[in-house]
Amino acid sequence: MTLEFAATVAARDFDLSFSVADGETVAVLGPNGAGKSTMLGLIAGLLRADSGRATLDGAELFGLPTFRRGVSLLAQEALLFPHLSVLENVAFGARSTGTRRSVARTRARHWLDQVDAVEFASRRPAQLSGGEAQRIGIARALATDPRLLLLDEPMAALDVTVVPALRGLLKRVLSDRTAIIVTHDVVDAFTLADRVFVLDGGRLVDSGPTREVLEHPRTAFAAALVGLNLLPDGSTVAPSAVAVSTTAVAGGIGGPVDSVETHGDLVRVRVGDIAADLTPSRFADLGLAPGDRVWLSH
Amino acid sequence: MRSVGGVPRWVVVIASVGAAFILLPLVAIISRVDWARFIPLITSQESVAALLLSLKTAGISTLLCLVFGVPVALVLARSRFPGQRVVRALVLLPLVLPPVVAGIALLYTFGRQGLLGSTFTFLGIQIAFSTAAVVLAETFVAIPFLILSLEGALRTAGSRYEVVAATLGASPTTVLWRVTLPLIAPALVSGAILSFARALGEFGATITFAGSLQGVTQTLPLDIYLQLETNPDAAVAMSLVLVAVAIIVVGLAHRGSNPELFRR
Repeated sequence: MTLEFAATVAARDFDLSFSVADGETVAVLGPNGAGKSTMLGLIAGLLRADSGRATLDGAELFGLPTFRRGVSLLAQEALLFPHLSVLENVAFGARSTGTRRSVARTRARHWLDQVDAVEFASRRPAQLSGGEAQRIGIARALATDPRLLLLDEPMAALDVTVVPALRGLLKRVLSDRTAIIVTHDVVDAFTLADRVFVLDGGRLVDSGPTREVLEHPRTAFAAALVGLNLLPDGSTVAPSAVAVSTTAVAGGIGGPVDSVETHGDLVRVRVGDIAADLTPSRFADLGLAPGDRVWLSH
Repeated sequence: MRSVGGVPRWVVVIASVGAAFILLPLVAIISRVDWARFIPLITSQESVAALLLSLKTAGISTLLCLVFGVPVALVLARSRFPGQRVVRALVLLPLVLPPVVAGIALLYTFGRQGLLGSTFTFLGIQIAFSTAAVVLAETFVAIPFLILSLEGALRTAGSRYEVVAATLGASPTTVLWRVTLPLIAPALVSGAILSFARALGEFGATITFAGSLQGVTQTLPLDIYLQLETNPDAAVAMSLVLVAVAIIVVGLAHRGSNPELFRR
């Protein structure tokens, strides 16, 4: 299912257009307030665009109410219906569109099997852990056979110990689906996404194949995600390769130290958008404190 | 002064007086009951007729409260329209209106000379001073309880589950029946019980708008009031029946608001 999307929302300074190919998974990265949630809301029909047009496999989206769009949304929290059993939760989509109970239940069992959660079928959502609930949430979203699957930081609220298993599950179920996943985690992007969009200020500031965008970042945000500095000339450099001097250096970038923090066994010094990693002894030799003027070079 | 569980002792003393003020009158009723004649008193033809009429009219008005109150609560909690705050305030007006004023208002709405009176007269329906008038009076004073309870529950529940349901393909009507109403079921139950209790105890609006005709409009509170003059023992006995009903209602409403379902 191919998604073509173009929309503006003046009140949110949002102006975005892009397309997602059939079977493709796109990761959307960007700082808070970049417009990621607005984008998902517009596609799912929870927000209205001032202008624009979106089609899913040629069919208009913006005129349709949410329930007719064939777009499933998986949020940070699983939001399983507390009054229904796990099985009834997964069967909800089919039951809502008029499928017979027995058929809907058989199909729900199939999807529970797909997420290795058959043993939870008769439980109540309140009896599940966050990771278990999110697995059921994935099964419930997939059981409606959505034309497009939206994932809004699906692993952000989970215990770190269950994230790798859930990521593996998502990789399996997203492989041949059209999906958009909003994430803050660069590992999600590398593992799950064919392409990456970087949003900032309601605009698309970078896009391309995942490795291309993240290994050669063109925005400070994307560079920071993969632990690199983006220099004014467009090149990138690792914080460990940045030299710090308290005297002026030809070709260096001068500025006051913004922050100093311990980073593993190194000390990370930030000057504007650029981070430099120093050994503790080098840091002590320089005697740096926030506000001191330094020059960075590499 | 020392404190009890973090509450200053003098507060506990005042609280005891307050609680006694509520409980003593109940003890007074029980102490005045003529136990030897209790059963015959509450099973007299007049009393039974009044009790049955009360249960019937309060039951029907609870149904009317649900049929009309649930949509009002939904619209107030889930949509935004100009003048919404004014509408909410007016809808809750019967809560604070003296019941006798409510009765007069209903009389000049549905009575023969009322706003809609000629319409009903034309249709051959005479509402004032009929059992239907009792139901209308009770519904009028009881419906705010249901609306208040439901609107609060709807706002607390939020619309996140409803959004999820819509993305799973459920139409707004399906979402209402399969998500919204089940989620607020506890409030629905306790709101309905409170409405029933308010309807059962209705006096002022009923006697003004419906009068007191035995078997037709004379509900239990009206019967008790009138019997107090002629047969105080019967009035006391019937009062105890209403006290028992009230205690059961409070117990049910309390349980309805603490459902097992949402306990972790």
